[in-house]
Amino acid sequence: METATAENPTIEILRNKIIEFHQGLPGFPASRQFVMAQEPQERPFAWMQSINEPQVRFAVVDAYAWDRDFSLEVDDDALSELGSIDPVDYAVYFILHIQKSNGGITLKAKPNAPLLVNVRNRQARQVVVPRSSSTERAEALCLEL
Amino acid sequence: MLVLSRKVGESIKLADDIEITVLAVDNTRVRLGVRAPRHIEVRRSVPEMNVVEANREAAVLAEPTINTGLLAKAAKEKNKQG
Repeated sequence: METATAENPTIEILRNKIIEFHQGLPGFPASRQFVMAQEPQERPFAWMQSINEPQVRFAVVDAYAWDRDFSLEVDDDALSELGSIDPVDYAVYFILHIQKSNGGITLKAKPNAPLLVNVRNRQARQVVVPRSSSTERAEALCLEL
Repeated sequence: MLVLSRKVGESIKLADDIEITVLAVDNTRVRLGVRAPRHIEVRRSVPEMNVVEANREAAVLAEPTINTGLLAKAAKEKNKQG
């Protein structure tokens, strides 16, 4: 059974596979299916590319690779909608904000609204988690390029 | 609003089947235990971030200036940080 660690990001399991947001992604209700497009050298990052709206894509990162101490608590009800309440079945991603400044680019994670993907049936949803020391630390870890 | 004081370990009951227990208290936080039937949804009424807004900001909408090497560069930088 594959589980997520910083050394073995779950994004590998879903590389170039289609995941499905049954309820759509907030703000993009027409986008229900996405491909996790990733070149090997991009790991643990990937482009989450909408199939329904080809002009829409998001930069995402494996949450535990972004912050190896990240922890997350989600209600079982939210998980059971995705077909499993077992945490080992899930991959967790952060959507990244790409900000351009002074000729450089900064990547910032949004840990308060992670994406949960059941890696067995590839059903996904975005959840909102309350602010905590864990989300704040993950939010502070920005990447300057 | 009904205002009650409880000590740690004490609880209040709502109707017949909802019980809220004070588990721990420190300066600024109270830890509560909620016992309720499964169909009762417990909502944390924290100010929720606007996910719709955040997603729209984050979406890379066919932006040609975001080049394809961006994530490879990010991966390299992230690995450097360890």
